[in-house]
Amino acid sequence: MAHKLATQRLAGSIRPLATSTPRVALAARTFSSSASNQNAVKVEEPEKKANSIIDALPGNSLLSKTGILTVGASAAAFLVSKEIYVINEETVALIATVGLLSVLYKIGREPYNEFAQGYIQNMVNIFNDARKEHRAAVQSRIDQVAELKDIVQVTKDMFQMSKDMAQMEAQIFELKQRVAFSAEAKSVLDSWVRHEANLREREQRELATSVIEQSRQELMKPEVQNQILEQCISEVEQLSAKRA
Amino acid sequence: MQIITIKNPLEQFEILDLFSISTSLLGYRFVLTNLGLYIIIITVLSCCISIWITSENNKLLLHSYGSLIQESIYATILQMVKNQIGSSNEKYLPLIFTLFIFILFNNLTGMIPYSFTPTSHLEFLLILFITPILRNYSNNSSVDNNNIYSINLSIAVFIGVTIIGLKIHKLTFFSLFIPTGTPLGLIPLLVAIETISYTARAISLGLRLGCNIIAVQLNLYRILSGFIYKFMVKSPIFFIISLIPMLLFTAIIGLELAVAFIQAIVFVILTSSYIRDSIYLH
Repeated sequence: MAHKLATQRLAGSIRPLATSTPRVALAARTFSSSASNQNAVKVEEPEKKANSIIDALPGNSLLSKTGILTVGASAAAFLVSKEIYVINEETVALIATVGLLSVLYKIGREPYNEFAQGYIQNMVNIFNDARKEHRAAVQSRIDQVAELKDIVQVTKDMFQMSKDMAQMEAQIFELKQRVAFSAEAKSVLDSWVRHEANLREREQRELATSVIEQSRQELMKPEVQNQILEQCISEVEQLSAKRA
Repeated sequence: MQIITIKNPLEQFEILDLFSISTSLLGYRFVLTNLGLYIIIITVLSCCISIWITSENNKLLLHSYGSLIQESIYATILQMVKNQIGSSNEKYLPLIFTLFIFILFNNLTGMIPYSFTPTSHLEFLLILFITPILRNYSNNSSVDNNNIYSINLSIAVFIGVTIIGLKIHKLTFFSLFIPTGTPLGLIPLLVAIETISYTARAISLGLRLGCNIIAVQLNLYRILSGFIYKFMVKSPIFFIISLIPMLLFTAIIGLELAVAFIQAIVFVILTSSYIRDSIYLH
């Protein structure tokens, strides 16, 4: 399984190399087996490694790098030979510490950068979202205020309308007062009519009562009774005369 | 005949006089030691780094990578303070954070070759903070009080915690020494035990840190590097073979790095715990 994985990885790594450099392409054509591919990769890797080491040295050109390296080595040799710098157990500790810190830096740099970038990107997203929300809020407020751009004319119209309404209310109040006055006058007149009617009715009743009373008193008189009796007799006589 | 000189492993822990001021004040002579110098350097360095990282944020809208580390440490310590002392007592956060940064910088300084580790000195953590900076000699007696510097800081914490407890609870604070439900007959015994237990915190807090740092510095770091160096200089073959223990030694320095962080965290966790005990008693 490990061999298979290694073969696949090597085949994957050789593919771009074969297309990029004629030398590797030649190697790929010459050696068909996976073992030969591995050899081709081994030919390429030390060059890269050497280049990376040379690139890691301070200086811009190959000449300056060589110069710096030579001066550094000479200085180190001078310091050690003159016992300005004494190599002892602290040097071992120094090398180990620098080595450890280098390894930690190499291992931890990329994950930390990713973490920091992710965190900062998260903050950027929060800021951008907040800015968008703020812009949207400001825009909605602007739109809301823009709807009130004719506010002067609207206010004048509303003021005119309120004046008309006040006038109408005044008229309504006046009319209501008139209606109320009319109703009051009508009720007073009605009560007066009722009073007059009652008064007339009472007078007529009293008149009828007095007439009846007078008639009764007259009828109670003997002269009247005799006169009535005589008149009745005379009428009876007339009737009987007619029949006869 | 090859002469091999073996240095005393404790040589690195020696406190040397760098600068002294003679004064007639009470017959004392004030001396600036290497320990005091390192503490001054570490204090200035930690303050400068913190201020530099924080001031960078004044110019930036987003975090710089450096401030992200500091904020992560701050968030961790804040969470620890909330868990240990409670959210209502976040006023102790500056103390705990400062202690953590100070101890961490002290521990990490010991990892730098040719340097000096103040926290490996028990006296530093035991007695009052100012003493290692300006060490005094009474009647010109050169009392060698090395290796007890470490507990300076823990005694300061102990005194501070006791003052907090007395200020909050007045005399009720002493109920800390009588566990609830103790039978009357056992009270004298338990009070004695609890008093010893409480007082031992002052020693144990600094002793734990100091011993760990001494163990790493002395046993793992210095002695191992001495052995490897002796092995390397014997012959070219031994030099090549010694690359294997060199890898192990590098891993051990990684362990020292972890111990530096862990011990700083342990110190502040225990300090928080002691503060909580003083605030809430039982």
